[in-house]
Amino acid sequence: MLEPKKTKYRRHHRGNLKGMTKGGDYVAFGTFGLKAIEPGWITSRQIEACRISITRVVRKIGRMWIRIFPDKPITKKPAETRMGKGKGSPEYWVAVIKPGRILFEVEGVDRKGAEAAFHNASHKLPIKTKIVERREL
Amino acid sequence: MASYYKLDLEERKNLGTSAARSIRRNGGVLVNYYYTGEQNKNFSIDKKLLQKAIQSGNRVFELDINNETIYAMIKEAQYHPVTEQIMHIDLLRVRRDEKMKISIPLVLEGNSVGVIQGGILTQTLSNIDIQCFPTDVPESIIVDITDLDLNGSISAGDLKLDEDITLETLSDTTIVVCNEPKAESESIVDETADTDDEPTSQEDSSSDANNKETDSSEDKKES
Repeated sequence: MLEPKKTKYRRHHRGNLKGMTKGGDYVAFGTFGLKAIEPGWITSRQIEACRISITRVVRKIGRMWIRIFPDKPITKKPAETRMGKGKGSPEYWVAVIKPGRILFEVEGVDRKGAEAAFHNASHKLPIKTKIVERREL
Repeated sequence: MASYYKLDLEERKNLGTSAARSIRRNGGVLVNYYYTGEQNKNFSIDKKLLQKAIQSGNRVFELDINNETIYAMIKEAQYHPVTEQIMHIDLLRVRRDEKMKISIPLVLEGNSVGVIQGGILTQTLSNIDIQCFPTDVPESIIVDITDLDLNGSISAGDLKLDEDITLETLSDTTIVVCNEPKAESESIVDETADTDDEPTSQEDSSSDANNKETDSSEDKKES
């Protein structure tokens, strides 16, 4: 699963999910892409599940790219622990996704193949998505 | 000049954010027209007309500015990040006697020998930069891949272009590669094999952790 090799700080604030993506909003490498149309956090496990489902379709005939990286640690306090005594320990990693962000890209498959791959992948994500093509201009 | 798609532009009198927003609300797209030595001009165009013009495949468009016929190309387009609709375009004037730089899409044609032998075709470059006169702008450049062998590649220098067209992209830039499938498929299989194992092992570890937590909580309750 994807996670940073080393970090400057072990724990992050929650941050916010306002606004739209600043970059990564167009298909840059492949022919088709999966675009987020809602904000949310995508965990490294969800990214991995999507990668496996896309690879099943694209394998041997095309290529795929993951355009997001989970670089935000999410902490959790152990069950039945009293409040206080500091912030919990990092449990998992998430990528902060804002609307418009391209999540995955594929190349070497036709529209039907890309739809099949991204349909399976979108079921593994906590946000609404849509399939987009590479822009002409 | 050959017949070109005509863009009906409306001159913008009110500039600024609120005026721009009202144009977009009414189905318009903002246009900025410029040329070296001239002052830029602000226009708007109907979104549907612009979409038709782009879908026509033309790269150079005809404009009517101050009763003067001018030819221009779309230099840049800005899109809405979520809806993918065009929000703004830049039009750059082109002159018949001056060569212009333009990016043209590449289209692969034919069945490559390498793919027939079982190779995987990977296109690394989808557009190519050329310099040509506005009258000679091709819709696309066709790359013939029938002779592409396994482990072979076609670079920008191998393209057959017309005499009037000059290549701007570096000639050693790779356009398309045909790789052997063996190494790639193995790596994918290995990756999936690893990842298929990973979740199960993590599930196990997480379930173990849950068991430990429940055990410890039970101990606490008992105490």
